[in-house]
Amino acid sequence: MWGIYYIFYSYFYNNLGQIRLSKSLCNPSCTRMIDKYTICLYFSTHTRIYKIARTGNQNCKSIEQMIGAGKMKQYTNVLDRPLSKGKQEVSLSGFAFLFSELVQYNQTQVDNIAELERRLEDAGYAVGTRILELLCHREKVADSLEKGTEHEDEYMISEKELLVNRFISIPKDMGAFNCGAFVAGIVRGVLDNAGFPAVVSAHFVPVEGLQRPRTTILIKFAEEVLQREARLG
Amino acid sequence: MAPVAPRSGDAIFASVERVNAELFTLTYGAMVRQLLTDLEEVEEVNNQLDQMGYNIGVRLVDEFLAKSNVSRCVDFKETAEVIAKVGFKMFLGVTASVSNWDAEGTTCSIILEDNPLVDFVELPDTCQGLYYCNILSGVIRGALEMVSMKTEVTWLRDMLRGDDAFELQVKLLKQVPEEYPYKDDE
Repeated sequence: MWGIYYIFYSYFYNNLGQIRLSKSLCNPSCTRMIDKYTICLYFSTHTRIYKIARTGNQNCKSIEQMIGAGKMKQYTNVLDRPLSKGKQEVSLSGFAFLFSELVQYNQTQVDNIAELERRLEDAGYAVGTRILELLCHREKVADSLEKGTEHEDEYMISEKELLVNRFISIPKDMGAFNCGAFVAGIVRGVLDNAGFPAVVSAHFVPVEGLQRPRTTILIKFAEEVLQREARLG
Repeated sequence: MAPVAPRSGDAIFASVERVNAELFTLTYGAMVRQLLTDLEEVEEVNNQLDQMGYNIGVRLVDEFLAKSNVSRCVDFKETAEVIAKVGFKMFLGVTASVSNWDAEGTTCSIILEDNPLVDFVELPDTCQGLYYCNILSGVIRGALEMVSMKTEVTWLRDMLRGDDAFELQVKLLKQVPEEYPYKDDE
């Protein structure tokens, strides 16, 4: 379990701001888990085939399947291009504008909030899939990990001011809608393709002293994941 | 009050908050994918992207003017320079160049060597008519319309179609003077 948090935490920490891991597995077999997982990650960085060698879901989603499923052109083979270092940045407001258009477009396509959240989640899922591949090639290092004390099949990642929620205001008639659904989708995408099927959702948690509620991403791992961990642990 | 000097694109970009470009690229990719699934016709998707870009541009120009402190541009040439050097740098972190001015100074080309929207992207055979970055043309059109310039923005070169750079042609159609909503004598 630690392994997947390792990736996650580093991704979130580096890309979506500070987060706090509030629950996690506290188990002596964890270190082995990290090692096993880390080895698997390094394996994938040294091969051109972007496979994650792990029990469970083995989807080889290479970058060439980024858009549609077309034939590869001979002269602009995107796989041959060198992988960028990942340091390039764009302005936050640029991203906020883009995200707001994404939400607005989806609003016109659906009739209710649940459907809207679902669509955002699906979009995020696609993002998550590809983020995982990129991470596997970057060997990102997490700055710190926090240990929790409970052991359940539910885990939470919480953040005070989630990036996507910063510039979005929710009109009263939308009630419980949460743009964190997009981030939940990213998380689900990463987990699913790493072999950890889970149900991920985003929730608002009101906190004393803060004007806006904190957003929490709730991850509920599927039965088979827990059984697998129990077997390996 | 002494006018504040305009800030360079690099200075502004260093001072705004930034996010990882990959997140941006992938989010844009997810959006285009959604559009392709919903609309199916490539032309429709192009139009929708342009419309979305227009909506963004209309709001983006406020932030641009607030952060960059540029003074009123004297002519269209200056406008194009400002868009390429300050605008693109501020929002996308890349610098564009301006060239191919026509005789009257109403049409120019903005050239982008580097485009964060298209990292890792390739167009399949089924989407050959797609202008993947059409959102950018909408953004420019929307932003300029808010400062009283009606323009037409088209793509001349597109790296996803095999060219060596991205080239946008910006054509000034007319300058529309600002209209006041209230009559003076009321």
